[in-house]
Amino acid sequence: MKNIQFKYIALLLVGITCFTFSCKDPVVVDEGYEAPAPPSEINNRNTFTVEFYSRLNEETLFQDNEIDLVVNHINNTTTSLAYLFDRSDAFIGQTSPVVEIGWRTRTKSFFVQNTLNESFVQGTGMIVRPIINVFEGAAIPDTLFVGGCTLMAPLGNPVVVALITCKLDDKMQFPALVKILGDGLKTNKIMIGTVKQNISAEMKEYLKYHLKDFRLSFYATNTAGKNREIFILTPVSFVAREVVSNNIGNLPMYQCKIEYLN
Amino acid sequence: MILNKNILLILWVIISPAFMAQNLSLRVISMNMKEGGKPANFDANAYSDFIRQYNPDVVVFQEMDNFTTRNGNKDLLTEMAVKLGMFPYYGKAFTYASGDIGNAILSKYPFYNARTIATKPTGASEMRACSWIDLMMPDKRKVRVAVTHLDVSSDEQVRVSMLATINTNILTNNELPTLLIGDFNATPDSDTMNYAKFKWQDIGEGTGNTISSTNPTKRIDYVMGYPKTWIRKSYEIVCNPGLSDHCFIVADVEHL
Repeated sequence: MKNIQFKYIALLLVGITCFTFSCKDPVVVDEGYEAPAPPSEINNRNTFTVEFYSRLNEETLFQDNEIDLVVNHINNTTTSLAYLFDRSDAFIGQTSPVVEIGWRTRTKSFFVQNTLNESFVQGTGMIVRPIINVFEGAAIPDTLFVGGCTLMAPLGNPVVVALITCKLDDKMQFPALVKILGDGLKTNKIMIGTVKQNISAEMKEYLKYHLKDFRLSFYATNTAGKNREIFILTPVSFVAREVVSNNIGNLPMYQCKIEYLN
Repeated sequence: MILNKNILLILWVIISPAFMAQNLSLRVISMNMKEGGKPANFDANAYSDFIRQYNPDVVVFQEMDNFTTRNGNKDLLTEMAVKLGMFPYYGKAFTYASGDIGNAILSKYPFYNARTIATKPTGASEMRACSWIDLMMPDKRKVRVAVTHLDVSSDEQVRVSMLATINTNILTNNELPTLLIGDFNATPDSDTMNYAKFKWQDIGEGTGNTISSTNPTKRIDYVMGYPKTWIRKSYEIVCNPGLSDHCFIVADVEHL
């Protein structure tokens, strides 16, 4: 009799143990964010292009008389929404290359700095055609500068986009980038910049686990002497369709075609 | 004895940054361009030569044309930026003469943020704007510099209403020391300026009249500071009828 009671008690204990463990919260594995695949067909009525000028290395962009060629090119092609000039560095008190391009192309110029001292500033110039009411930026000294223009993209139905840029040299900048973007990707922020090739994989991995509702694509060339690549970060409602390598004289230019998915 | 030395060392570590902190120092110029630069026949050289002799950090303009028929369809601001080696920002108030008229800013250092708001309260004669830039100086201190041109209406409430809108937009969530510079179309004892002084410090208080440039009898152009802890190092009223009907302000200001 006692033996039967003992068996019942043992069975009850095993049952309770199994029930307790089965009721524990399931372990959730964070697999990060992955954007849904965009439509396979491009809707050309909803695309715009941005010209991104960069040597994709640590050299300053304008080294010779390239400004004349760029001015001619911009004056003769009016199809791009904006023109970005990576490393269009300037000496304080002297004419900035991007301001000169703005003057000669009758456009408005902006500058997103990466560094600053008394005499020299390194950064990315931006040329747009309309007057800009919002040039939104953030400056975290010694860490990260981000900035760009809010303007109307002339799509099938015009859409307001904030076209911003930054330069990433170190993975320590990633948390600052995510903090600055905040919910920005919900408000049509499109970021085109450069990242050092040796940290681009880590950038992709970091954003996957720290940002949502975005698409990220990279463009690198196999040309010797390049240690950087272009990245395009968009909200999930946009997609970078292609980056076409081109040259304006000896100046490398990349035509970035972006589609609004709506 | 060792304890005392340690205490002194800790105290030094705590208070030394306060002694070493440099004041934020800026030279600013305010220029009302009088119909987009008409007195100087819209000549960028004339204005640039004036500005260059002062080597300012920031220049703010009112009544700046942008590609208008009257200025010869040109971007006078960017032309000056090229000549002076500065960074331009244009803020539109309204469409005029096939182009635009508004405020503008030139900065020696690049700005990382810039905005323009335009407002036309009931009773105002036309749309007016306020534009501002945020910039980081080489010592990494940040400052906001704004320019405005308040309406010329006889009704003080129009300007007060504009200022209220400007205050909301410029000062909300703003931790930067800020300057609001320009043509307020109001004398120091007016309702407009009394309202302005609730929030802003009249850095040029007690200085000379600014209009007209041939016979200055009224002070209506100001350099205002926020918070009210700016220091006036120098404040010069420069009258040049060949450039404008307003006298210009050249001010050296500091903020701790």
